Amino acid sequence: MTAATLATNGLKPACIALVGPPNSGKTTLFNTLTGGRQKTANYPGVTVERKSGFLKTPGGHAVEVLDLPGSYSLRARSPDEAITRDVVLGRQQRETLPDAIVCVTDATNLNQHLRLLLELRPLGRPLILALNMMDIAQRRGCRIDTEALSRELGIPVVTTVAMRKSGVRELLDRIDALLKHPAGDGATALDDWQEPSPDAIRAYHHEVGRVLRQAVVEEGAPARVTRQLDRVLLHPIAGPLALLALLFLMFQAVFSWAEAPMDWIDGSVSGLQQWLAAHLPESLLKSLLVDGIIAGVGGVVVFLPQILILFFFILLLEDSGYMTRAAFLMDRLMSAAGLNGRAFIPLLSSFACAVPGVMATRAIAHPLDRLVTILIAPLMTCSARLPVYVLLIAAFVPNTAIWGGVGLQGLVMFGLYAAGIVGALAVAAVLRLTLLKGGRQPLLMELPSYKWPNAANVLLGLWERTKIFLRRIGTIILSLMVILWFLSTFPAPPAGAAEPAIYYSFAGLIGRGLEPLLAPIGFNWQIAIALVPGLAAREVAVAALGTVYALSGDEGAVAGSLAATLAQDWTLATALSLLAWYVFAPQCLATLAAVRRETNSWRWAAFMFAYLMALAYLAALITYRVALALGAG
Amino acid sequence: MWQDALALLIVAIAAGFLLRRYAPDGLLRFGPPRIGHGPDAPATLAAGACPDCALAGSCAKTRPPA
Repeated sequence: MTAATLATNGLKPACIALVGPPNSGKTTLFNTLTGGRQKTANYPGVTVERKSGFLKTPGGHAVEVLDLPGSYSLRARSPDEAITRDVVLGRQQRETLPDAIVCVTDATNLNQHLRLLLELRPLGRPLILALNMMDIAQRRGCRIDTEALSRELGIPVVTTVAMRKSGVRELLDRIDALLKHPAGDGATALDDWQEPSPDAIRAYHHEVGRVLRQAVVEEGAPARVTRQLDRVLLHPIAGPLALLALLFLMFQAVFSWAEAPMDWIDGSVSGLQQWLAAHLPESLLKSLLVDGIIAGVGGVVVFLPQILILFFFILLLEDSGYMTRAAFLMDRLMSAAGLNGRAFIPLLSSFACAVPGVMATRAIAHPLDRLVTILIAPLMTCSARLPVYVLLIAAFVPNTAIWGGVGLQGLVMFGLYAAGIVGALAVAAVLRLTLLKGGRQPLLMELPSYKWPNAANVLLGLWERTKIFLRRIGTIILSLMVILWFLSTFPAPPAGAAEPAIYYSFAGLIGRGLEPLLAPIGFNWQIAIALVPGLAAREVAVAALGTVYALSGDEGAVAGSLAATLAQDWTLATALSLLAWYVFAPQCLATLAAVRRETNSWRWAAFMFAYLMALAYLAALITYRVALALGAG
Repeated sequence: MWQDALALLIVAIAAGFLLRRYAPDGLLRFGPPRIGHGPDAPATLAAGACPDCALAGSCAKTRPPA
């Protein structure tokens, strides 16, 4: 059900807010209630902004459900927690006061989670407690007397297992009951609300203890498997080794597993290209389709299997609960570079895309900690870099095994990811020592229990990534390739021209104009042309290279793979220089716009662009010169 | 040749799409704003931009209210 459907039916939806501590399952419950597909994972801080969806209750009420960022308390300390507090108190601009609140808590962790409910109770708003993850609590032998809990708290209590849709009907019935007898607007209690003092928080903790003594019949054993696994995975020596091994396996798999599907896609694209070249009459349309669209877009679509393999691993790790352990293991290294431990999750998100990564910094309380994290987020290797890396590695790094079966290509890929991480830590350390001193806070993060990854979650995540990738190809990349084809085709070359037509075109003019600037780092005019549309998004450069080489009259680029063409046309030093460039280059307009929005200033977006561009040039220059000195020219 | 005209039409459409996507909000829009993209975007929309949306900062719904 959508807002539009409700509007056509003449219904003004009631508003229900899902509130609760981080990682208590609010978004899973939200998806179950509304049929939504918001991202979920087994670590805190996945939701950093308000999301909404709609449903109709069994009693016929139209309801808008708000999924709010997790918070342990209304004493907000970070921008995402402030959103939750302001929505609940009716102070969020453009937001109506929720008609009722569903407080979602992890039934295995009531000791920590019930405090928020006790803070919500005095607000006087209709309130329901959803004890989520009851299946896990029961498996551990925990028994909760929900009637006693409801009596002690004075509000309805419902048990749910959001992932299996269990308890949802009862929750909806309770919501119906609340909506039938609406409470007052609670204006006085809300107007009088003051942030709880440390004494008040201590009092809440005592009250939580008292309530649980009345309501918890058996506490149950702590998670045994989690304890045993953590003995190894959080061990000071074995833990980091296991993390390195996991990441290493991931990058090896990206190359070795993707070969067959990539060959299939590549063959299909080449087949279509050759068929069109053979059957269409000579015209601008033929050139646009064969040399512009298929050479460009086909060069990027082939990387879909590798992107999916990478995300398969990331989704497994996210859903299992390992990611917070990785944050814990990285904390010492990150704090040495002046980063807040909570920066790990935004930086991790940036491996998918820097835009959600920059947004995820809202979970960081201190503004300076947050700003440092925003400024280094683009250095994490996002999935848009993957096509560039894979193309150049496939073209220039031999597919051989070294050190007892370790693939050299996977090893180089691992090195490029590591270079991004090391670069980010170095930049953070420099910023901390110069522009952004102060504001460092220790890491305090709840470690969730390990869970078997949910197959539906993983498949949904992969499907979402596929849609995002194909949508980008079908919109931005396709449009940019059409424009690049136009700029590379017009004006026509002069009579008796010795160079390929593209050399005399608008694009050739731009490429040759930039060439003197880029020649010291080993880039030719074709690379210069590809870098310009590549400013919009990194993978566009791969598509642009496909189009540029196809229009350069290179038969190999049309009939065979782009990698083979580049291997013939470029030196190893140029390829290494371009790889070094892409580790740092800020070639993504969406990220710059996100930085501007989150920092509320163009100044920081411009600063980020300038320092990343300078780093990219310097890294490419050093790489190129060293490679030449070593005889790779 | 109709093929040449069609190729140039595709170029014009692509240029229009990119201008619409990257030009500042309102500059190239005519008529009422699309649902969720105008200055009167309903309050039910997300407070931040949508991940992977290249419209990002130029989308009206991401701007703080005046």
